[in-house]
Amino acid sequence: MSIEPSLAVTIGGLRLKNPVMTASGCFGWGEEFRAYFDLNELGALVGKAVTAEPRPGNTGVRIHETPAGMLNAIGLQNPGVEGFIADILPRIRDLNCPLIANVPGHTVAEYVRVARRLTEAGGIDAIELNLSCPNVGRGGLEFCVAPESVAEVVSAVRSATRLTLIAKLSPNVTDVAVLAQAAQAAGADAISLINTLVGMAIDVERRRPILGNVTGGLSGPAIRPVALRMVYEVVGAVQVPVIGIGGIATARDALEFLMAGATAVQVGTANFFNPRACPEIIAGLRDWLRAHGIRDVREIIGAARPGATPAP
Amino acid sequence: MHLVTSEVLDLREVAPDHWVTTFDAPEIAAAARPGQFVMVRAGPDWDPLLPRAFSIYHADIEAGCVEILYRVVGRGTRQLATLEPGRFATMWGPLGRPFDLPETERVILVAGGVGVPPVVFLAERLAQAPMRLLGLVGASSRKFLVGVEHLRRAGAEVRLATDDGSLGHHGLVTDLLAAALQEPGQATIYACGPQPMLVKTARTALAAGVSCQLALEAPMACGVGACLGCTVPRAGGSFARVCCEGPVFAAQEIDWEAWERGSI
Repeated sequence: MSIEPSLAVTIGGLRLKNPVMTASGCFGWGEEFRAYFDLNELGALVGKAVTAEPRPGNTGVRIHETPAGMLNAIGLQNPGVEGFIADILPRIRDLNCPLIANVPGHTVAEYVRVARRLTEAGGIDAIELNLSCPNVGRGGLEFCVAPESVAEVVSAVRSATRLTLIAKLSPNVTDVAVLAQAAQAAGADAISLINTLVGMAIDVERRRPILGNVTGGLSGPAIRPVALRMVYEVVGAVQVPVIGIGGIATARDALEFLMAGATAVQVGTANFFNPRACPEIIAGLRDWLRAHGIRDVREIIGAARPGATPAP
Repeated sequence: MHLVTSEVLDLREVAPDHWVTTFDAPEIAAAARPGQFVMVRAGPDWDPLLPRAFSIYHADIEAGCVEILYRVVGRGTRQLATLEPGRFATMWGPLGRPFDLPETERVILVAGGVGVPPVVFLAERLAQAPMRLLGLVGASSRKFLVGVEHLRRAGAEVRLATDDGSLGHHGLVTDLLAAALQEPGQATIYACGPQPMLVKTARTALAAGVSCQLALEAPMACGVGACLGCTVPRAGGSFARVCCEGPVFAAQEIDWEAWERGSI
C-alpha cells in the first residue's frame, strides 16, 4: 500500500491542507458552490473583493467569451465591508478552511480601514490586497504600477493588521518583479499573481465595444503561459511564498505553477466552466504525486527552476 | 441541483438553424420546474470555454430526459448542434427561480422566437389544470415558429404573429397580447423572448395591472451565481443575478428602462 502524499503547505501564518485556493471574484463566498462539493476540501477560500463602501458594479454587458478565455468588467460589485461582516461572514466563518478576504481600494486610507474592520470582525485568516483591479475607474490601478505606491499600501495595512498579508499584483505593468520586491520589503507575507490582463472586444456589426466598461480583464486558459512566466520571474526575485494564478483548470496546470516555484495556486475562471474544478484539481495533484512516488507536494515546488534536482 | 455527464439521446433540426437536443438526465428531469434552466458544456476543450445556459423545453420524469431548444448563433450552439446521439455533454441544473404557478382562470403565454421553451414547459405542466391557456407565439417568419404544436397539445389556444406576415398576425406578438387583455377573465401572463418583446410585455402588463412573470436571458459564465456577469437592474436600484434571483422575474421587479439602455 502506498503512503498518502502530503499536500500541506504554509503561506505566512496560514497552514493549508493543500495548495489549492479559489481566486477572488470567481467563487462568490463559496455558498454558490456548496451544492457541488464540500468547501472544507479547499486549501483556502478567497472571496469576492470587499470594498469600504457598497458597490453596485458596472452597467451594461459585463462578460464576454474570447478564445480559451473570457473578458470581465464586473466593477467590484459587493455589499461593502459592513454588509459583508453583517450578512455574509456569519454564514461562512465556521468553514474548516482558511478564509481570505480580497481588498481593493482607491486610497491608502481605504485599504487600511477595510483591513482593520475585517481583522476586528474575526473569522478572516488573511488579507489579499488587490493592488490591481483593472475594472474600476481609478481603482487599484494606481497602486499597481509604481513600487512606491505598492510599498505604501502594504506597509500601511501591515501596521493595521496581524493577519497574514498577501499582495496580489497586476500583470499590466512593466516589471512585475520590482513590484513584488517592493511588496515583500514593505511587509507582505506572500505575493499572489497574476490578476487579469486588460483587454477588450468589439461588436463589428454595431461598431462599438462589447463591454459596458469598454475594457475588461482577460482570464482563463488563454492567459496561463503569461501568468506562468510572471510567477517564474517573481519566485526568482523574492523570498516570501508566491501564489500562482492564471488560467489553471487542471491538476497538470497547477503542477506547472508549483514547479515554477509557486507554493500554492488559485483557481479562478475554471470554477465557471466546471463547478467541481477545485476538488478535481486537488484529487489530481494527489494522484500525480502518488503515481510518481512523491510523498510531499513541497518536493516539487520549484522543481523546474534552475538548479533543482532533475526528474528521476 | 445535479452535475452530470449526460448522453445525447436525440438531435433534430426543427426549423432552419433551430435544434432540439434530448439528454438522458433523470435527476435533472425529476427536479426541473418550468422557467428553470441548465448549463451545458458540449466539449471537454477550452474553446469554446464557457458552458451555455438553456431554458428547459421539456422534462420527462418517466423517461428521465431533458430537452432544450436553441438557435445556432455562435461557437457554443454550433458545437452543441453537432453532438449526435450517443455522444456526451456535461450538464448541471436545474438552476434558477422557476415560474410561480397561476391562480387565475386564464393564463396567457407569450413567446418570441427561440424563447418558447419555458412557456411550453409551463403549458405542459398546466395541461391538467382547470385554467384556460392562451399561447401567443411570434417569430420573424413562419418557418421560425417553433413549439406551437406542443402548446396546442397541452390544450392551449394558439395565436401566431410573424414580422413578415407569412403566418398569423402581420406584426408583433405583443400586439396580440394587447388584444388578448381586452378579453374577459382575470389572467396571468408568462413571457420569454427577445429583450424588446419582454420590455413591451412587461410594460403592457404593468399598465393593465395584470400579474406577469418573465424569463430573462443574459450573458452568463457560470450559471450558479458566482461570476456576476448576468446581472440586470432591479426596480429601485442595485442588480439582480439572472441565474439566481431569476431567470424568472415579476414585471415590477425589473427596471425595464435601465435594462433596455444597458444592452441595446
